[in-house]
Amino acid sequence: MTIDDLADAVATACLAESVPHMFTGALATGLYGSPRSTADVDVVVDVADPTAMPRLVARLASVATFDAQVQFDTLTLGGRRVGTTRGLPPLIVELFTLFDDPFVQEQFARRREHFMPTVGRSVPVPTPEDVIVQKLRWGRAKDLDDARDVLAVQTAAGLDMDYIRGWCSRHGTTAALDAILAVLPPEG
Amino acid sequence: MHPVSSAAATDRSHLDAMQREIWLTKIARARAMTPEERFAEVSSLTTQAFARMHAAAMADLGTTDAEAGWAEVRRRLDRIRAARDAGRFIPMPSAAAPAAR
Repeated sequence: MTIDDLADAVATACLAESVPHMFTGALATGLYGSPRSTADVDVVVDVADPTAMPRLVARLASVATFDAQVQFDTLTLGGRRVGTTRGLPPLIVELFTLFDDPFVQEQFARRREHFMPTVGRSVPVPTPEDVIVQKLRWGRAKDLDDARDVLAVQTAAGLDMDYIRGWCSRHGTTAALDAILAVLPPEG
Repeated sequence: MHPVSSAAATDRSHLDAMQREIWLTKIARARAMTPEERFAEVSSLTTQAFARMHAAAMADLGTTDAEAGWAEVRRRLDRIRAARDAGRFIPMPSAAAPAAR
């Protein structure tokens, strides 16, 4: 199984179960920034219907084995289900539940379809601005590198910086944003 | 603590400059690609990375057993994920479940 196969399986399952979704993580970062390898397919899923997550996990059972325990994100206060592919290589699918966080809600509402040539279909992904805000909010070294790369590739002139600054101000990540902007290469 | 020698500082400065040059090259290349090309490269890099991880794990184990190599790759990735997620993700008590939309 390739990362594309896994992304395709997840998208197919979400569509089959009528679960609104959005691909995040390295797939979204790679779309807007500098491509890098990944072992994870990260997806935000809108599972307001309490039967939706179990149906989704059951739909993916032939592809991945999911941890029984739901995990809680202590930073953003969301929930996460983690599955490991049954085949090789050992890839991970992380299903993040959409929840009542103003940024997460807006990011999800603003998602857009992008064609994934290696999957052969369009999939919903966040806007580049939302990827940057999310990465700065998570704030791990790898996340900050991803935010920097998306900013460098998309350029500040090509992004809605007022939108990014607005959320960074609310998240307390303005200093991290400014530190990245200070090291960006010239545009053009 | 030893004071940093001027030679070491020069080496560090040289290394920083080299790292930035590599990063700038990477960014210039990504800027020249279409979003679809970047997306496709994530897939290609991932396939290559797993092949290398598998080969390295088998070499480290001194085995020709491919399954043992994949088991070692899985173990290493699990360790990395555990370190990455430490303190961030915890088992969710049912009463603390976030309100879904």
